[in-house]
Amino acid sequence: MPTSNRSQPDRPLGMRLLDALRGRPRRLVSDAGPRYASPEGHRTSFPGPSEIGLDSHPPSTAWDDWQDPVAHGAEDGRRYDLVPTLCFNCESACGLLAYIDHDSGAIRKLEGNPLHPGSRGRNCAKGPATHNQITDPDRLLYPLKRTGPRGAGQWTRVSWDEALDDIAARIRKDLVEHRGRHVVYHVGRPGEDGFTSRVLQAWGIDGHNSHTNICSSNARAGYAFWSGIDRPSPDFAGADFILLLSAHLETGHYFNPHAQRIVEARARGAKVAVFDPRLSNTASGADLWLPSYPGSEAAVLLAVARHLIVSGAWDRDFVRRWWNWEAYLRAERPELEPTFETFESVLVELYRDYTFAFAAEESGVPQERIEELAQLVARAGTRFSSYNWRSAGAGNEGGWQVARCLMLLHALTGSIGTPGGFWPNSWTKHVPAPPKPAPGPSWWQELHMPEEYPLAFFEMSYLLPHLLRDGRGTIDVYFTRVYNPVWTNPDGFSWLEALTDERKIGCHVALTPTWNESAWYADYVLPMGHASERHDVQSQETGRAQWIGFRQPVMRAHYERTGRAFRDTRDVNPGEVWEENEFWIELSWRIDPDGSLGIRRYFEAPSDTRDAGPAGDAPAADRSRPEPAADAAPSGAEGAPPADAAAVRKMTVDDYYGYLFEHGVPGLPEAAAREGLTPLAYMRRYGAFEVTTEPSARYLEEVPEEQLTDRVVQDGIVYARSGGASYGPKAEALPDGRSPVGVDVDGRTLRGWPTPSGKLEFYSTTLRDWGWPEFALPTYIKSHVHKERLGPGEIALLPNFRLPVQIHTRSANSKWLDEIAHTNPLWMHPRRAAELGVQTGDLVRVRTRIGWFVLPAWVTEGIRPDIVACSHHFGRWRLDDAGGGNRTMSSVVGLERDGSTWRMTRKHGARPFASSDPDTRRIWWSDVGVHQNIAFEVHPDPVSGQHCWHQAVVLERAQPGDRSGDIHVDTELAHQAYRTWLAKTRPAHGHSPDGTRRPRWLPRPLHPAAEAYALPAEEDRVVADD
Amino acid sequence: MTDAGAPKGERRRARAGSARAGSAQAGSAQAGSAERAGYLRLLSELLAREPGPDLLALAATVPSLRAHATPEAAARYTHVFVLNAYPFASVFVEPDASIDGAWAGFTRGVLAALGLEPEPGVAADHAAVLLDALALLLQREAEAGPAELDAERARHAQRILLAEHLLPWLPSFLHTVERVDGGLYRAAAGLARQTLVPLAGALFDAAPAPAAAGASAAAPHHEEEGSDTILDHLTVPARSGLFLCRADLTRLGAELDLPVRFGGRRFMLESLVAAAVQQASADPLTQGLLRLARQQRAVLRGWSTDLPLLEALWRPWTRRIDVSLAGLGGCTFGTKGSDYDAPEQVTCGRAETP
Repeated sequence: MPTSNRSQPDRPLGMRLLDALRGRPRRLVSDAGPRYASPEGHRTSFPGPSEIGLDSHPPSTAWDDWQDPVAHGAEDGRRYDLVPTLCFNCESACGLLAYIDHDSGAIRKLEGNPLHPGSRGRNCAKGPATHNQITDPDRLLYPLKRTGPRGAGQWTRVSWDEALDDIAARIRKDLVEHRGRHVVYHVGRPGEDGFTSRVLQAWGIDGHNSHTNICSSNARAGYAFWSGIDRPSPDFAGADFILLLSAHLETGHYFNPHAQRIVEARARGAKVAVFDPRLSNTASGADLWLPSYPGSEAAVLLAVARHLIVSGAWDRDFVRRWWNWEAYLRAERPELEPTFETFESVLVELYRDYTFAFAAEESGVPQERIEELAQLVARAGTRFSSYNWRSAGAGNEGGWQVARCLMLLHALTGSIGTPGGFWPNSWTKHVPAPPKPAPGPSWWQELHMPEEYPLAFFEMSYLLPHLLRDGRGTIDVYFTRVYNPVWTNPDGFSWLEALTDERKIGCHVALTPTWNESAWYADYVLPMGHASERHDVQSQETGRAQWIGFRQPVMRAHYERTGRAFRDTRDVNPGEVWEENEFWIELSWRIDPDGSLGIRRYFEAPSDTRDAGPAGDAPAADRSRPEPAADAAPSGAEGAPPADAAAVRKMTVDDYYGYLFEHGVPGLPEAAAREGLTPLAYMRRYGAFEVTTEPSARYLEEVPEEQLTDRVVQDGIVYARSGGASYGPKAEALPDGRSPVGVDVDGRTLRGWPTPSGKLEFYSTTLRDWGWPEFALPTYIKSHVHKERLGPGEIALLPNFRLPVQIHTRSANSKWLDEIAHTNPLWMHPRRAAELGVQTGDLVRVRTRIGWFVLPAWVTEGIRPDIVACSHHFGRWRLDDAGGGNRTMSSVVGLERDGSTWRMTRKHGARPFASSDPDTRRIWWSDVGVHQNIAFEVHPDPVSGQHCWHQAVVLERAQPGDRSGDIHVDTELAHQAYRTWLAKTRPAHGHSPDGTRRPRWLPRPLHPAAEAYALPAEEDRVVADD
Repeated sequence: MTDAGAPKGERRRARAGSARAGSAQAGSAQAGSAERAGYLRLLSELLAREPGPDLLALAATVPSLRAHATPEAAARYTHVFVLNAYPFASVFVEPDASIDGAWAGFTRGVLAALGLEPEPGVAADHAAVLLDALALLLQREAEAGPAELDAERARHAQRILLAEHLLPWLPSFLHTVERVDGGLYRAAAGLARQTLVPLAGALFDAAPAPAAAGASAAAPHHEEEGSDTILDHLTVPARSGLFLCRADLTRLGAELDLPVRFGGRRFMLESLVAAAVQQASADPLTQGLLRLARQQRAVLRGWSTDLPLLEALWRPWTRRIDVSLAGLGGCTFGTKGSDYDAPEQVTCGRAETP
């Protein structure tokens, strides 16, 4: 290195210039020192080829002490501890990184976790907005108990101990007296894989009630009747052609992880086609837009299928090997010779009528465009990916056939388990087995799965008010968690009636981070943490890989890194905000303090000898639990330590997740050991782990020889005595004890599919046997909003589309998101607007079959002329000016009831207010939309149980005195509507082929024991009391 | 995850490092870096603001500047950099030739990621900032300790800055300075080229990946009546590959004895075309514009000849100029009205051959 001798006369001129200029006071650029020696090798955000060893994310080696040069400049000296967690604002479980200020201990911001394999450092707007939620001035910080009448808004702060003891005593009483039949856990967004189900199983109750029926039942049913697996997981990144039945690229499930993979595919030249009756951003960016009339999607897909069949653009060998075509021919065409050649000609015949012309007629999409779609599918072959979840399926009666017809295209082209093809989600998702698994409940909750819906996916959650009204049961302890049924479900006034009736619901416990419409009608409101304040393990199917992510209270990890003590998550969260997991463990101990109910053992710390199997010494198959005496009282009541407390220790979240990561995640212990960490410490540090990037197409796995003892083949299914297969056909075992282990395909024993036949069920014997033979094949069902089924003056309303910056009821407390999107006007084509005589901003009264609501029109050419649409996020309300809701995004309303007639009137919309956050004084918006769902009747699909969201409505110009947000509903009409739809069902009594309530092979979130499936005797039936 | 092997960039640096580690040339290369840093620092100062006496005195120590380092020459700063040769990358690469847009933001982000922080309020894509940043990276290289990796990291950053942020547009900019000024700044432009060409020649041992520098080479739309598209095209470098400064247009007007109204470049060009049509000088005007385009293409080809490995950096620009030449050649200017006071009346006839 040259020495600097500034007086040196022969020193080169350039160096002399440098010396001379060194002292100048002003320099344009200052050197803060080299940055970002990134071991991960990420690039800058610069859109050039800056392979610079720079990083737009802090390298993980610097997460303990990070100085953020971009945001704050070097000289401000702010240093951060970076702790990963998972976003909790939708289902995707994207990675977040919390920036915790070293000095103040405050979380300054949340950005993407670059090590998360699903989201890869990227987030949508909802991820960083987590910061709004944790600093929300309206958030709940302490446990509250109702003091006045339910819904009157009178609350008192109570201790966690008081709340826990009261709730535990009620649950214990019900467990002892009624086996827990009156305890219900109703979850909106689970955001976790298995923890709470295990709790309910440990309590021995069929108490899990989910939101699935207002969301994805139709899609799940359509996929599961084919394959036994109810969810798609496309390999978008490898696809040549991508078909989206929704605005998926911008708003759908997993849209952030999926969108980035779709964009990668497009960069390679992949084509994208979109079904969407609105010109959404997704539709506008597609190569092919199919603005089909809602509910006609299956007709279009069948026309594509027909094209593949008649043009020979299908994988004949795949169909021969993997469809249950033999079962179809045997049962439905016994007169024909059961050969594949016969089936080929039958197939042509079956779909003969689904011509392009027919599809064009039904959908209103030009025939040439449907033909183009068919050609794109045919050309893509096995590199054909698709996505269908809520949009088309959730809107329409019979919408489950949309997924079934879409799957038909994959099953014809063989694009299943292939690079760029369709993958069932269980192959690309990793759910670790928990410590001390508990058996399923041994009884059946009629309020969840009434016998009219034996094939439903899953619990008929949104019918609960009607089921209660019909006297099918009562609830004593009703937990709502991340769930707001009054606002989210259709027919919310019926929910209000149920929640305010203490004879029907004895105690409503709302587990929620923030106020919502339903929590207002609770007895306890218990504050639970946001994404950065709670533990969960979550894995999602976001591509052709498997990963597992860890949500954690980031301050807990920060305390650990900095050596600060804490007892549980409450100590690190704001106020007394807790997390469910520690809450459930504590509650379970208080329910069964002495272990006499057989519950406590599941919540004792696992030890080396006790942790691997089920709790205690009971083997997994042993579903017995102690039957408590009717007068049993907890020996540890009044807080006295139980007699054997010294012998056992309460399970902690570290115990639970430590076990899970040590034993349940292949490769994680080794990766952790390479860094000198325990698996739990590894996950606390990095937040995610990629289990594999080469998932197996499981149906093709060869069954190993050692599992084929005494192999026999019956109807194509291979049975053996060795059994033990966790994946394979869902056939019952043979009477001689042999279990199904796989399927025989051309002489080889392969794992096959988790269906009764072990094959892909083109022909669903389940649908046939349970009363729906006309729907046993993929077919087209005309929607309840099909034009033939609309009444005079009625038009279809699409009420279920998402916007990218909001998520159901969860994001209203995010000021950034609210500022971007806060209202839901009625999308209306100019032609329709002209007929009605309205312009953008004019108020419209939308009349449903049970009432009406008022909202402004938004006139746009971006929608079909023969429908209207309204986004479902908005219309949040509260009854109290000062509390009970997110003031940035709710209006204050008045409620009036006259018998079964309800009226909601808006007093005022959002407005500025003083709070700990100066931004709340800057609220410039007032219109926060209309709560349209509350004016909708329930539409349970008679097969899948899905609430079919689309509404047949009549549009009117607003009447004098109408104000935006006004609502009127008659709940008697709502109950009549429920009865009308109930009459469409084919109940298990009368249709079950084997005396059970539900086919045992169909999934349920919490699978009851075999004995619970038996239908009760006729005299014990619990049905509607007319 | 974190235990995956060294990333690509790291491996490349390590390879380059081992090839050079312990080399006797390392010391002299570092000395060369320091010397170039000095010239770049001086150029940065000259471009940043009108130089005062002390800076002029320092400039006078450089032989090629000595004759021009006078207060009179320095006073042309506003004419050169404020009115004509805009010293911002954005002007050359943004699709509407606007400054302080996305490009300036990207540049600031890359500089920040390199640990280089422009003064608050200063556009990060200003030539003076970029030359100063380059000088700092050269100093980092010169002052790197015995760890060769640090010096290689600094060189890698220099490559990034040159290939993605400076070299794609700097030849056009420097040539504009040379067209506008005959004194100090013209000499400074020459010094910049004399410094940067050998620096880049030494830094690159392979062609860099093509940078996403600016908009694509869009052909003018002659299908539409009216002059808007061709005039917009000619005045946006990212579209035409050309930079027409005010002085260029004034000079053209003077050559053809046409009045030129003073204003924005687009307005000036439009009024010039209108005047030319009025005075039946449209063809000579087109010829003048073609001549300017060919000159600028020749300049870029000259840089490509000097730095053959970097030819790809200028290929999009020469291609755009080719498109512009073809478009201009097939274009017949006219007016709809009869008064050049209404320059919006200018039309551009259909191209015979694109």
